[in-house]
Amino acid sequence: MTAHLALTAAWLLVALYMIFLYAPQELTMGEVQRIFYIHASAGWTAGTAYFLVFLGSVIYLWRRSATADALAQAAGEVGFIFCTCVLVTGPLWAKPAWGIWWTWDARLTLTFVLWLLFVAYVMLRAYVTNPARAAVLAAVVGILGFVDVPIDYMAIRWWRTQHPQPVIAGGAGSGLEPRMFLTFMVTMGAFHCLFAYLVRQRMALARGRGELSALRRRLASSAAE
Amino acid sequence: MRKSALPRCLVNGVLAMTVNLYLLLAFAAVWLIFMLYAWSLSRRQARLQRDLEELKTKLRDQPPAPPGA
Repeated sequence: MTAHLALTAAWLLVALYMIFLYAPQELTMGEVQRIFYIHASAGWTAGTAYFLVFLGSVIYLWRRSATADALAQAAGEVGFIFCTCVLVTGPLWAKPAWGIWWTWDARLTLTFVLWLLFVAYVMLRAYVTNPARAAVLAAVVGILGFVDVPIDYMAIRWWRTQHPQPVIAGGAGSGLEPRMFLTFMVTMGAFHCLFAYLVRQRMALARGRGELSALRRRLASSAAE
Repeated sequence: MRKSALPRCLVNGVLAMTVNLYLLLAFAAVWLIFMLYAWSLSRRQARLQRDLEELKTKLRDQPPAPPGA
């Protein structure tokens, strides 16, 4: 865990260096375009998180695997954090770039729906008191909600949106300047490394809670004897 | 000529500062969100550790069950 934390911290520092000192300034938007690196990276990480929620939920419903359920739960909670970052940095970039904080175009609306799905998932886990029932209900939300992720990804390809057209895998005419592309890749790697670290921490917490419940049961049964 | 240059310079400066303020706010917000989450995780872990220790002590201090019980 300590090695993972050190790697994450070092990777984030390199990403910060590249964002502010290595990547060139964009011609039209200027300095504010540097928000792109954290905004898009957080968006991709939130997408990865929801994919893990989906995967963990499918495996849990299929095999009743406690590890898969813990993975889905951890990815749901950490994914909510990353999706919140997307929704905070987006308007802070939109205001100087478009002149508005928000508009209900397809990409923005679907990302907001993704955030609501994360909220629903986290709330289900927190407020349904029976753990087995909470796991099943959350898995259903995790699987049904996954429909939003590919549509959100394709929204800027299928429809005309206020949100810019894709710069990665966007076909002819799209693409990033090589140093910008490298900076984006490094930042995305750093965010995924941070995501993995937080998911591991959250899973360790879930394991500890399982141990606590087992100890409580042992204590209650020995008190009853 | 010089008269119009000064206000334009000022306007550009103010614009640049405003734009950089958005950049600063975006980065500050992201790190604040991560820090708050990391703090909440470590607080929950510390509480869990305390509860585990407490329960383990209780179990250790219990009198042993009589044979055949």
